[in-house]
Amino acid sequence: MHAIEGYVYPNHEVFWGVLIVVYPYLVSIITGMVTIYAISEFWRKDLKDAEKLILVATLPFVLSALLPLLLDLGQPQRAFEIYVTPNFSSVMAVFGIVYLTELFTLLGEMWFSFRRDIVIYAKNEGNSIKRLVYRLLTLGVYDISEKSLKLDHRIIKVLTFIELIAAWCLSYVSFLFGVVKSNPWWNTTILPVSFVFGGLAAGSALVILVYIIACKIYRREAREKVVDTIAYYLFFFLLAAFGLEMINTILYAYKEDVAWAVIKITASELVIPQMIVVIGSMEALLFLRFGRNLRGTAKQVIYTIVAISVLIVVFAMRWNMVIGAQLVDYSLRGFIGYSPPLFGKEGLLAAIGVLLAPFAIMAIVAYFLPPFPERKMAPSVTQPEKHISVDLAERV
Amino acid sequence: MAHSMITRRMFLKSMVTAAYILALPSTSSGMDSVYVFVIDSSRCIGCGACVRACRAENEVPEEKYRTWVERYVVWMENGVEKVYVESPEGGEHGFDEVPRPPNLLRAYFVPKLCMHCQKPPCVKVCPVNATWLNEEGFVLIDKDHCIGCKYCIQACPYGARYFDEEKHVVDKCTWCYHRVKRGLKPACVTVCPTGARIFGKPDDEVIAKRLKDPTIKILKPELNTKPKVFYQQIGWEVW
Repeated sequence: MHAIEGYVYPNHEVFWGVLIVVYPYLVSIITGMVTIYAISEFWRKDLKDAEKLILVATLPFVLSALLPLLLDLGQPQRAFEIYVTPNFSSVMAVFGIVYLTELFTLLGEMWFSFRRDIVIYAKNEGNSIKRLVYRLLTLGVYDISEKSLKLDHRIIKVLTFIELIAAWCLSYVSFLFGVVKSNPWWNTTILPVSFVFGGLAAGSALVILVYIIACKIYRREAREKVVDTIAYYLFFFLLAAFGLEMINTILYAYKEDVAWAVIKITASELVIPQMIVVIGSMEALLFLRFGRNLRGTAKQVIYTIVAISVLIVVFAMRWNMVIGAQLVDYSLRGFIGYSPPLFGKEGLLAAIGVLLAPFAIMAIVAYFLPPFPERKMAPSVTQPEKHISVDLAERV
Repeated sequence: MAHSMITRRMFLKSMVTAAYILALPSTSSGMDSVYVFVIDSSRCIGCGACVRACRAENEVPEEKYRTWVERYVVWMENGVEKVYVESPEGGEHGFDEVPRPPNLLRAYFVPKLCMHCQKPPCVKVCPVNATWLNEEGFVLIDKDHCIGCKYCIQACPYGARYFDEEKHVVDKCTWCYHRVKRGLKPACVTVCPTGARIFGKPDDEVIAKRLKDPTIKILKPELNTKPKVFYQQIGWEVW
């Protein structure tokens, strides 16, 4: 039983726990990563070095995005009903469709981006099981002539555009909360916009983090231009997310309506996440502003700290939004406390597991589709296969 | 042959007539074909019989409520009305006496339950159509179809829905639909010793008279959910 302050309706409790904090958090990250990929694809060619890595890192997050939702469902075996008997006036049902669009466009994008590598691996891989996997992944298409690769690239651009729209729509998962007019904390116009910017910040931060770590793992130099460019965008995304969050709170406090009376006292339950948001955001903004003047390892360390800070800040924002809003009773006369259980399918450990799942999947995806294929790899089948083998051997 | 031909005028006339006939059922099956609930707060004595009857009739799990009773105590302090609200165990076992505040203005009980809204936000958000508004105005749940996402609970502004931890689905007051279909009244209405709960159709004589009361209220009208539970004798403090 949770602590109760004031009067709350007898059925009131925190129905969506820590897993539903993780759910929009993962979705936010996807939006940010896809946006950075689109920026790279359409505008900033200096991000090319991280392009494949972003794809390899995004897929696990997309695959894991539904995990927390499934774990939270009372009847997870009926989850597919969302596709069988959808209610199109429900944001959750629409989310299911947008999610599939996102998943399939990303898979298509990955296939076209890695097609050349897959064909080369399918022809040269020594391990028979891996070779079989690559052969399956080719889908029977072995044409990697210059003409077909050019066509691939055009298709990638179209898919990126669709995926970007899908990812932004996915980020409007905040509508899931925003449309609940009975909850004063969710029922604000600013919420969906600040949610998107929070997502863009978290996704950008994760790309920086993954890029720096991946470069270490693959024993290659992280290009300063790449991290600087992403950090440049991250600064503005975070500034917007933080600014909008603050504006929302200030507006509420200034208006002092019925709901504010209870929100104000509920805030005492959220002191820690609130402080994380304020201090973490300011620290990250400051480091981002001055980080670009640094060089080498110092810059990487600062950007790593910034990336981790931003990821924590956005998680705290999601916590405030999902948990904080549910603490307030719809009677607007009281609130309840919430501390997540450690065990169980809605517990802290399950949430940590879900948060770590994308990284485990990322290792598997990167094993089959290395994100940094060397420049020496054969450009087309017109070259003798003997040379391809040699090049691959050199790479290994 | 020329006589049997349909002229443009005749065709248009018949189309307009057909459209009118088609539109007719929807206009005539408005609020009069649906059920409503009227609560006369001045008659409620806070005995909790309704809550107990509901639990027994519908096998409501412990600590969950399809209906509950709230007590309101309002007094004046420095020119401002102060409000105290409570509902210990949903009012199931009645209420203890509370100290009478100085400058007491009013004190009364208010039974609460699902409002069976005509624009139910819970129905709108259900991703799988497991909850719906039927032609008689009941908002029902198909528990064999509910996925237990709890979205409808979040959407209900009246706190009427709860999560059944045993069945892992959402549940709520049905106005005892199973009883109504057999010509009976909801359990809470039947056991109320003072007749504070009145159930029926808007054109029933008793209900029609009550609905004409200019002080009658619905809860949270600003949310435009069009609730079908109407309250008599309640103050501004009830929402």
